[in-house]
Amino acid sequence: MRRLLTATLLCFAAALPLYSQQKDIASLDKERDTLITNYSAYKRSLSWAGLLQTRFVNSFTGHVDINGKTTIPLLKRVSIIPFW
Amino acid sequence: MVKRARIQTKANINDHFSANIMVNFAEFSGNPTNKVLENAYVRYTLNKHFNVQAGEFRPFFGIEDAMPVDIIRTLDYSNQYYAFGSNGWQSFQIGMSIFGDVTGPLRYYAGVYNGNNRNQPSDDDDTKNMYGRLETDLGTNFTIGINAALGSQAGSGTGSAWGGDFLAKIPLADKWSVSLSGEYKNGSHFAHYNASTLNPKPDLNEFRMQGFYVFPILRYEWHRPRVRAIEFSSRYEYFDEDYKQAGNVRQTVIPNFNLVFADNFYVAVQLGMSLDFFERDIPLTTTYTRQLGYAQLQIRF
Repeated sequence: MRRLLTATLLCFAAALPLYSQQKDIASLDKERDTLITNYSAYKRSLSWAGLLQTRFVNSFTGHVDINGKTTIPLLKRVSIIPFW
Repeated sequence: MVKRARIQTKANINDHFSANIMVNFAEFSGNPTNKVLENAYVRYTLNKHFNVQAGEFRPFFGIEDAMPVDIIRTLDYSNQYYAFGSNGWQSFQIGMSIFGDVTGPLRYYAGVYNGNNRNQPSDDDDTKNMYGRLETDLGTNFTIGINAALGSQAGSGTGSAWGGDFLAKIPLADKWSVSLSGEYKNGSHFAHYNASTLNPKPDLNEFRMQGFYVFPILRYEWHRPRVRAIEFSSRYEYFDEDYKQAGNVRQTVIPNFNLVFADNFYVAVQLGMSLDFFERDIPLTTTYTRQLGYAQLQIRF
């Protein structure tokens, strides 16, 4: 009988820490992190953007085209009127 | 002329993986070989301290690489941007970068890339370009950056490039402000070295380019229902593509007037002049002193 009583008390004593233990607050974060079990599409998004740049250019330098390249200036035509 | 017709798509697959593809359809006006596709990269973001990006993109080599692709506040990018781009140092390149915040306002960028420009099937030699950049904010309105790189192109051997830049915003009075940026760069000119027919051929270190620009913008926040802001700017640039050899200094001034019809440059009309002055004019080439007037309309969406 005494043995049975001792064993019962020991079982209660062993179970007490389970009730007295405080909750581990840090473990809550772990649980929150593990709530997502698949990150495949986590915060998935798609966006489009564009830029259109149009330009009118004019070269103010003679014999230079708009790309900066020089050309040979054409010789002025000279009328040659023969005298006779 | 249609200078740029860019479409880009940004896709966030999840909070860590994203992708960006950008094309410029205006490049079909000429030979589109090795053109049109500009951005094509995948980014992995672990946190704000560590991002990995791989594919084709501009490798953060200077502020013109880092600024948004759809905000162009004057006629175009600088002459040094195009020269360093054609030599594989910046502009759109194929490779991999890591970047992020270090601590406080200090940011880092580092990476490797092929250095033979965009839309190439593979590297043109056995070595990769490597680069690093550090950038920090000194106060709320002043940012400075330094970058350095090692690289090669088409069997040229290893060359180097380095530079520094700053960006400042100065509030003047109610509705008035000044933005001031500047950049200096110095680097190997692989194209000149590879094309050189001098005998004996000088060392790669004798083929270098250098230049700087300052870009002040005076801005008035008009805040009318239709016209949101007016900007006056004038970028001055000094650039020498071959200062250790014959050299020929090119100075460019671009006075620009900018009417912003929608916030954040969603609609902007620009009027201005591009004034180029060469130390020596070379007939029948583009190395020739000239003046160009322009009117430019740009819309982003």
